[in-house]
Amino acid sequence: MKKIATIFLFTVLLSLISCEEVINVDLDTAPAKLVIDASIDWEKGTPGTTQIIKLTTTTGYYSNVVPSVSGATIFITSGSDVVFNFNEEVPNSGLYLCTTFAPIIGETYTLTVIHAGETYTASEKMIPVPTIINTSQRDDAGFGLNEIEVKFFFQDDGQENNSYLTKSTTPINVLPEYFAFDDRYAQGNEMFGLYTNKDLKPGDAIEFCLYGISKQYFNYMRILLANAGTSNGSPFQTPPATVRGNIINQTNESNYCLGYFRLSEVDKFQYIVQ
Amino acid sequence: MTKKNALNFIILLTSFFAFCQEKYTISGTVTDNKNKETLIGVSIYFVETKASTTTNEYGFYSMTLPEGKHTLLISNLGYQTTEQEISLTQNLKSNFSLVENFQQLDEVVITDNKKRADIRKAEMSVNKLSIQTVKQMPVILGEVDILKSILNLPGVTNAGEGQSGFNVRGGSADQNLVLLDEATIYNSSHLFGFFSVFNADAIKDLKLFKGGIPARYGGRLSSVLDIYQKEGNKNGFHMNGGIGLITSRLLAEGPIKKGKGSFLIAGRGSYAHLFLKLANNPNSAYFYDLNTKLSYDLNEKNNLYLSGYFGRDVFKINNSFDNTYGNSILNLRWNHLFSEKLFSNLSAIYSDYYYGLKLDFIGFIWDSGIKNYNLKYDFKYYLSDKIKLNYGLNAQYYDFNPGQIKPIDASSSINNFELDKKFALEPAIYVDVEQKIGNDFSINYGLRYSMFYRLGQQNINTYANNQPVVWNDFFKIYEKATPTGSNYFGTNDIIASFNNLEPRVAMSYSFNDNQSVKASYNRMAQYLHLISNTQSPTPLDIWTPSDNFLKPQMLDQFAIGYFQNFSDDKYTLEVESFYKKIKNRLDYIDGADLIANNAVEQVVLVGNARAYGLEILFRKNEGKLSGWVSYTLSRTEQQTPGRTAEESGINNGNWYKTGFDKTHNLSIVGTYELNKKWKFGSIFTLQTGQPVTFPNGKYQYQGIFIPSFGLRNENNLPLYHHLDISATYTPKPSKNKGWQGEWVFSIYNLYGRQNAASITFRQNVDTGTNEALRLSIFGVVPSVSYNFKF
Repeated sequence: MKKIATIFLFTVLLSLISCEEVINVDLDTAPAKLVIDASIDWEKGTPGTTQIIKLTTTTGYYSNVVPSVSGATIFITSGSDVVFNFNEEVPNSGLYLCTTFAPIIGETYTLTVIHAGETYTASEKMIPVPTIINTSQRDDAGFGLNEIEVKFFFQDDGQENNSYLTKSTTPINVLPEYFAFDDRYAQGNEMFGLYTNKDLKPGDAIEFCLYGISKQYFNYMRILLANAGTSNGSPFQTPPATVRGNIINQTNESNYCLGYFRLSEVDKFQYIVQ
Repeated sequence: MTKKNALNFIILLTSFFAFCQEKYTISGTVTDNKNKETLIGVSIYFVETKASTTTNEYGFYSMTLPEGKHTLLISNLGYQTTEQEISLTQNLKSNFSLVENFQQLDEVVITDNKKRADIRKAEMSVNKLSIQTVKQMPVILGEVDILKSILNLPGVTNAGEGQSGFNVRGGSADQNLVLLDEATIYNSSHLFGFFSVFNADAIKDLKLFKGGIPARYGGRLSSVLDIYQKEGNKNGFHMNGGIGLITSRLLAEGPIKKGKGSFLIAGRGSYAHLFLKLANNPNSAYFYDLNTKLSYDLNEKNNLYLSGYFGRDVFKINNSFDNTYGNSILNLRWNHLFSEKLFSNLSAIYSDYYYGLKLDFIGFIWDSGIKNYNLKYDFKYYLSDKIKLNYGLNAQYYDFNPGQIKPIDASSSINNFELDKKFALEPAIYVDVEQKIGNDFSINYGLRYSMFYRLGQQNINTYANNQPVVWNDFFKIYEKATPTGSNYFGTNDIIASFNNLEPRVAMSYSFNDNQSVKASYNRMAQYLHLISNTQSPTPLDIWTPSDNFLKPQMLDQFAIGYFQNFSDDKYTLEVESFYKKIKNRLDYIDGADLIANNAVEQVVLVGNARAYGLEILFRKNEGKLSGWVSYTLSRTEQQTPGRTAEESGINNGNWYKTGFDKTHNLSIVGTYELNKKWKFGSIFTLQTGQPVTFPNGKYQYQGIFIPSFGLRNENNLPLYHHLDISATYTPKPSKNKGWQGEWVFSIYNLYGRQNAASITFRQNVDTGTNEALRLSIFGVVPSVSYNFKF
């Protein structure tokens, strides 16, 4: 919140006198690290049997290619010792597919990835999510009172501490927009996720996803999204540090990988801007 | 040392020196001849005995000398030196008035502008700036700014352009004690650091202590910026003011009862928002401040002063965002002369800082702040021509409001939430001795005994192994510990207490009238922490007291220096080197959430900091061209090692450069008086770019690119430099009465250097590719302002 407030004001103030320019900055590239994107998403109303795990490596900051990692052995074991194998169906794609996954809310799963002779493992619980029950739209948001803002409402469970991740995808933005938050100040209330963009116009489709996430993953995503944000190197930012996830290299602890093993129930909502 | 012991010690000293030969005391005050404003730090030199003294913060001096004739040389920065002969046959009360230099510019070339280094004084690492010097320096948008001016002194930097706070000898911004008429100012910036809260029109004098800090100051580690407001003209009613691009100012001052008392009231406000209103723009951003001072001489032995300050910044964006913050202070002081030799001052000070925020789109109101009550009794005992004693005591009571959140209305999804209020008491006693030994050796030595009591009412969490932060060896990260329970402390129950002895010593040895070497050592304790993980303070940062988890910060500083005057005081050279070591410096775990966190101890780790450097200040004191070159070579680092072998610490436990480390820092400041009508000023600044952490790679996760990073602050922003110039035009310089005006033209960043305030890395939302983006705040900024007085 502090960051929201300060960056917000700083931006308003600076827009009057400051000048932003894309420049060339020479950057070093650290040796490549394995990145495991193991996000098991179970969309409400679907069987959730098809899941993909993606293996890549880090690369130079300005590089336009994401190096994929092939030839790994990947499987997830459920709490009742059922094994789900993930196979690289398209060679050299780095995408490992499973079509028989059986999601169960509250179940703890274990991920195993074996690559280049090293074994990586992680355990995580599948987290439920409430349903999006309502939406609202206003057209007088933003500094100029002319931006469209859409809210997606849901009911927080007052009996427990919950964390949420939202993802908004629109045709006006090539990148999805993520936001991680928890119910700290709104325990048991009707809460909302929000999407606003100055280029949003009537007829645009917003695909809004609400994920139930663990507290550990919430902490991870908060740092990760801050790192991904546009504010690195800004005076309002702590020195950023690479954030480590929950996947541990059991063979060689110091050769850690990046990424996370998460399991979320998802509620998806398609909204057409009025 | 207890208070009683201290008093015994003083009595002992007193009786020891009382049996010397027949002596009398001359005492009094030194004022400006025009407005009877008392003058601080005026040097009084007794030619025959070679004794010297300076006036204190209230313009008072006292000197005890053998019976007989004495010649006094009274000199002060910006004033003509006065010579006075006195015959001392009994205790004498003698008040002096000094004439300002520029009042007779046409007749005499300034030769007595004594900016020379105080060769024989033990005091070191102290910079004084006259308000005239500050006003002649070119500034951004024509706003005269005390805090920006001190950045041109050696050892003083800030995190970057347009950022608040300042860093002294590698200390963080919260380690500066900023005093306005003895009251603590908790946030010294307007508009996030673009301007300071000090209206230069209302300021009389300022002094910056970077090291060898006297025992009368305490509570902050790195520096003391002591700023005094004017008392107001005792001779007649006058007004002055100015019209600038950003703000306008107006000051009124005059006698209350002629010669007995005076008042001063000054206001300043920005008015850009008025244009927004005219343009029917609902957004608003402005600041204002109000300075007041009343002084009254009850009689020869008693003076009363009342000082006040009130300032606010206000931002409004539509109706959805409403932000207000600022300081207020009120200080009532009573000067009492017990005798010609014993001066006392009793102050009752109130100071607060308020921050309020209303976010309509999230639906809440937030406010936080700090309130501080300070009772202070200080004595100055002018024992003999060789020894002066300062001693006193004070007690500060703090009331912290770390924050509360309220829903804006019933429809808000936010619940009421109030963080625990915190209370603390900080008493201290001190004694400081200024002593001359022979003609060549001076020594100041003192001791401060500070105490701190963290008080209830509050629940304090308990943790397993007393560790509020735990190391998750599985994920290799630090995490908040879950409290195992809590202890309740009732109102005024002591939650934690600390006490520290803080020795201070400074000494000088002069080879002759023009050359000396000095050395100093000081230990300081700081019981308050500014909870902020950014590189420079923001208005929302929260002050928090030490408790059973956050230990007081401790500093040891050593400094040595060489001082020389050349060519009959035309030039001075000051070279100092310092080393400082800080214990219990807070560092924040990755992803620490600091705002609205009721258990800050769960996200901080304790580390160390150190700084060392070399400062060179070369000044030309006289002539049409005067000014200085200041260069600092320094390094500032901090380290937070792991508590056990498994823990990584912050930054893998390695020392890393702080965000305000500046290896090289050069300032060249010059003023040139062409003639009576035209004066010119210029500043050139060159600094190593701010340390930053650039990415050393990236990876894709969930459809977006995430930069990856190596160790902290291993990169630097590009070299920072700019040249600023100003010209002051006085149409009728010889006019001394009625309306007198002057125009100040300035250009900031003359050659349009695009200095990087930050370099950010982002994924372009249109193309999806990664790029580096430089933000520059100021290009070439011309400005004009008009000042007047009558």
